[in-house]
Amino acid sequence: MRPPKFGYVRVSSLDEAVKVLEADENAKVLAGGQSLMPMLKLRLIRPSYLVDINQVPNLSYISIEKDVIRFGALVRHHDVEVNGDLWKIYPILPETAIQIADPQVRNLGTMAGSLAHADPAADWPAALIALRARVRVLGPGGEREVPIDDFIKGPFTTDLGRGEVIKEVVVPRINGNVKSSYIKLERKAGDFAVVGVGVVIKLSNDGSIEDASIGVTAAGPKPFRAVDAEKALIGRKPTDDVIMDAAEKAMNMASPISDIRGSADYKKAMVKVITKKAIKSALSR
Amino acid sequence: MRMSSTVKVGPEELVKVRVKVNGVWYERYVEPRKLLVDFLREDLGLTSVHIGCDTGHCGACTVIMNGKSVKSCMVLAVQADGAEILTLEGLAKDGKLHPIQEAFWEKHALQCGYCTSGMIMETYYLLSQNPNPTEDEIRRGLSGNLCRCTGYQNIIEAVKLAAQKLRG
Repeated sequence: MRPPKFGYVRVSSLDEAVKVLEADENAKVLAGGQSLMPMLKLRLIRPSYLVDINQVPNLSYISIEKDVIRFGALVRHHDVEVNGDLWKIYPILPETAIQIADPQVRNLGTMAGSLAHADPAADWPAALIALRARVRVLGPGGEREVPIDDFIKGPFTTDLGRGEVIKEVVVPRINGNVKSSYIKLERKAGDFAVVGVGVVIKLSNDGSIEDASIGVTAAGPKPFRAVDAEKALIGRKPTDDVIMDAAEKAMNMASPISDIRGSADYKKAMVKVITKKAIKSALSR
Repeated sequence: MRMSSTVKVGPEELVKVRVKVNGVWYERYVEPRKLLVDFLREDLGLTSVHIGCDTGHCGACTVIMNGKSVKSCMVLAVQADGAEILTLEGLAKDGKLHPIQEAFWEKHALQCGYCTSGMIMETYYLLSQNPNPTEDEIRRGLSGNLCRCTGYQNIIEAVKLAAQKLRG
């Protein structure tokens, strides 16, 4: 399979990428290319130019700061997977990375690219919703930050406007007794999620849940925050009944479609199962 | 080698690509849409790099690019500009098979052989990251490579043996 013909621009800064993308709305960014190549080969997209940002210096940083963790636009899934500090601070991050596709794809594919592609079954959004991450966007008008919940608008549709690129993903840090996990149900190794659930929980000193944040992927036209499930957890002790109640509420918010990965009914039922597992997995840490 | 200078070519133009493959620098002009797998096979004659599914699933086209394994059907040749690439052709030295190749031979880790070069290159990457993998780590490490003949058992055995040989 051959991609359609396109022109090629290799930029040495993101500002340069913005200029090209602003001037030509059919140009598309090439980062890891692991979602882009199949789209090109299947002729689902026919960009005029690919704007290759891979040679832009200093975009592969994972910067762990006091209040936030910043992921540069060229951070590969593999970089997250092997980051020992992240395993300690937010195990949900490397745990998500390690479940994406296969080692070869993880060596090239980027977190930012996955968000920009916005596949409704992608793994990152569930984890990043749970982490209340923000997407830092660079465009012709300068920089802006968009909460991840608002960044993904629908299937393969984001908030990115003309000339805009993702500069970094910003994950706020939370003090205290914080636990996190991402659980993915998949049919076979390396497949997209049947259902994926990310959970971040903050426990108070008396063992009750002070705060909870839950992201669900592959169970609707876009990844969503299971607000009702979060409310069912906050202020309560995480007993089996409370967890089951929250999982059921997450299920009730899901609106999956039937496809090769299962019927809508099955996926809905699995949202409950996987939410329960993800909460328990986070709490077991 | 870092290529920081800006490049811009139209869809009908050719781009200059310089790559170091198996220790030798090559310079060629390619269409922007040319895939790395086609570049390695057609322009450089390295036919160990197999095209299996051509959709990023099977791993038969796996090569090492700047120390990391990639599926060369999921990379453009222009993306490899300035990169160092290792293919199966670069493994044997002075007529002697690489320990991973020996291990695949000794454990009979192939039947038709179509997936083998990709399997060996991914094994090369896996063992470069983790010289002493558990069976579970081997299975995860090779999860991006499909074999339709062997049932994988002998491949797993070969990787274990290769790890042992490489640790010396």
